[in-house]
Amino acid sequence: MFPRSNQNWLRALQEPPGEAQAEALDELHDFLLRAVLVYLSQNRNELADWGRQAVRGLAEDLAQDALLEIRDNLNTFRGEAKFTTWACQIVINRAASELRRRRYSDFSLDSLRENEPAVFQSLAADKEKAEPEHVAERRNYLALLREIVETELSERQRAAITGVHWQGRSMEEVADALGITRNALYKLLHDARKSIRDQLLARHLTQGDILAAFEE
Amino acid sequence: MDRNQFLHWLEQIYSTRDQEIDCEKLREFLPAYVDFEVTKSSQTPTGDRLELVAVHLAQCPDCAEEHAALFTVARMLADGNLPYAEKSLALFEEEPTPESEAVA
Repeated sequence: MFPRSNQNWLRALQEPPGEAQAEALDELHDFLLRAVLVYLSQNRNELADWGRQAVRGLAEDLAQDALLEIRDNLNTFRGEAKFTTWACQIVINRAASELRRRRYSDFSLDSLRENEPAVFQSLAADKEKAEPEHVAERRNYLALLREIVETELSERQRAAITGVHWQGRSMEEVADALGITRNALYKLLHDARKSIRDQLLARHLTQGDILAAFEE
Repeated sequence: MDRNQFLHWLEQIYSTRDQEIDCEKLREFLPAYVDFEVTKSSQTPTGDRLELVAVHLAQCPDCAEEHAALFTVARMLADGNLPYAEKSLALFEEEPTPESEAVA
């Protein structure tokens, strides 16, 4: 199954147009189509209203677009991975983006800001199985975290945390709402995590301390 | 945010490293990481890279999702059982035919 070596793939794809190149392109297209269909079929609950022909069309488009991207970027393949794994990443990335876009729900930056207090209220209220002293501790920790988030972070960092960590939205969806790339969002969240971590450690609070209060 | 999401967030805060790779760097390292996971080949990425990738995947839901998908396909390919297109497509319902729509 797709037994070509990395070198063989590269050589064939970089050939001048002809039989050898056409054969390699066909083979690569077949691989990308099969790979993306594995992904789509594993996520078919998200494509519940899609019929077979529509899925075929979507998969063909994704495979075709990935094929073009791969041909344009052959010079960036450094041979550290198998060529098929490298190529597969490109089609998976496109397919995952496509499904995420379909998952987007309507929300705005304003809703990210407004939702902040509610998030903490619901957690503090979750006290059915907790000991009374734990409930008080929980409230304290939540109040502290909220204070750190409100005083130490920028507004954009707060919006990013709300969307990704508290509401469980995808990085891509929140990045789009913030008008930044996923890469920039990762950096924004990384800086925010570092700030929160440092604030907690400055108060000599370990993860275990906080976990103990949230045990059930 | 429910309790599990909160605990996950807490874990992410405390496992934060001063230096982490971003999504672009992850994308560059991921294929070799997946090959290593699948084949445990001798071409082991350096220890640093393995850890950098693992740390990023624990922090980034989108990259984690793409990693899982890539691993699945690479595993199937290594085992020689990557399904043919028609087999995957057969898992989806056929569209209603124009005739049945006309009747409806």
